[in-house]
Amino acid sequence: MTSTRVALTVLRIAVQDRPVCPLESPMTDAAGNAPFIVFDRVTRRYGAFRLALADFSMVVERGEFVLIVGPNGSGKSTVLRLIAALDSPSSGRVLVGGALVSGLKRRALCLLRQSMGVVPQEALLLEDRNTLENVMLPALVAGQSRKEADRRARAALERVALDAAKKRINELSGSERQLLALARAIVNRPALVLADEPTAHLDPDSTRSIVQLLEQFAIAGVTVVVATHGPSSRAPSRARVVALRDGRLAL
Amino acid sequence: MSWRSTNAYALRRAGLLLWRRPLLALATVLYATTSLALVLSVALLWLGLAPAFTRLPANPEISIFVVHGTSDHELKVLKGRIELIAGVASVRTVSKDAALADVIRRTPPGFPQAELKRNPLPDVLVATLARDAPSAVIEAATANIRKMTPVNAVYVDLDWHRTLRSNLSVGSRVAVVLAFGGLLVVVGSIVVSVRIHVRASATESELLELVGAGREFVRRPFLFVGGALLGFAGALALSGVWVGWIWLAPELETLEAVPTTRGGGFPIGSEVLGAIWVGCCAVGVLIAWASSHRPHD
Repeated sequence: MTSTRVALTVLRIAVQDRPVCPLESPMTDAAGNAPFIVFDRVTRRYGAFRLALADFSMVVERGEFVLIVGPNGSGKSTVLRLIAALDSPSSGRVLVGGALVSGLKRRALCLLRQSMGVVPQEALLLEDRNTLENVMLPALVAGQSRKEADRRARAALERVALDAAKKRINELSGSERQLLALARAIVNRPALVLADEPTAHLDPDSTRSIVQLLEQFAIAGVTVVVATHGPSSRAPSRARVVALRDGRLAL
Repeated sequence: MSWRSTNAYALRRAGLLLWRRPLLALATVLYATTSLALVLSVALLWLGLAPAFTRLPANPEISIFVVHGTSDHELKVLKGRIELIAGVASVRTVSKDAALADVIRRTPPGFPQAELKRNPLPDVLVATLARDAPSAVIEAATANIRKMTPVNAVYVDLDWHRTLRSNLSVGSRVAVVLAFGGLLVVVGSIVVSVRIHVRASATESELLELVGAGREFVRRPFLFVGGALLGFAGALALSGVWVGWIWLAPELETLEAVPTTRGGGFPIGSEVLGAIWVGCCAVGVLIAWASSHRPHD
């Protein structure tokens, strides 16, 4: 009886001490309208001369679809990297789910990244593994068993309508590679999807299908932030556009 | 990610890394095995020959011939004075009677011993100095003894002592250089191999970081690669040295220099062999841990 009580106490302490992922933490205030992502006067400087972001402020609400547009070097990718904590601001604050990203401990940082899906510019697909194994990877990292990761990966592939469960990566077309990266981004059912130029170099049909997918995620309650060259006619109507030029908001 | 799934993933990745670069794995194991075998051979020879070295008459000795007719009391006083000289470890007396008996014992049959009507040999004191006594101390002690009465003559073979010491010194330095060089090659081969795997897995490491893997998760496959390579090399090197020992054992026993234990068996027990092998695996993991850093880690 005593040992059971001790075990329960230890378990309770363990649960209480577990690092909290910012995306799991309470994100709304009493009124239920606390912002999901906040950029508060953020500046990111690389070396002495290159200014990627200058005094940039932005607020993204939960479930919002945000298009960050601007020419090359305007700071779009830097914004995504700062949200994913792959970079840190030179000054200013970036908050995700109410937590200061630059203040997160290593374990909490891992949990934050596990609960968001990122589609990087170069797709970052592993050539030595097949499509299914590529999509399974984030699920395995998040602690799922191989069986569960396999099940989730197949579901994600089905969600993006990619019928290539065990194809080799070098057999995929450009749009299939982007769809695969998107499937990998949603395999952990993230609360936030970040996509960096997901439709670059794609034909209009492929672009349309990827934009529709991202819009569907947003409709389902997932916050979507997409960096792209410019709002095209295929951009979803519900998307909010944030224009950047030389690291500043273009008015 | 749980401990079990982390290790299962890392083991699988490590196996694939080695499988996909068999020539690299082979070359690393070959270099590491050869170098480890060299280090182990040097260590075994050192262990085996150390008792023989201690039996060598390596301590410098000064023979002191006293004048004829010296009384036992005078001899005892002289012995006491010599014992007080700096660098002298002990002094023993070889009486003229004992010396004569030894000479007679060594003379061939037919030698006219009757001609030795009177013992012509003097009493001798033999002063033994410390094994590592420098030449200056030996020379100073010799000069000091030479001035004492009733000393007739003093003899010291400083050249033998110097030759022996320099040979031992050169031998031990060569052994240290060989062992150090061997260890350097072992470490170098594992470092190079792990670095090649780290560079070849750059995309995967970047992706893993992106999807929330911790540094330990990203680096663990490389640690397994390092441990496996050095563990395999260690097992091969130990087997090679063991076979070499079996092959050379009869010759080594006839030298009577190597104290082979219990009927000429391998001088290292199975527990120590196991510990060396486990040590190889652990060192391999440590080397891989030190060399699997990425620039922004």
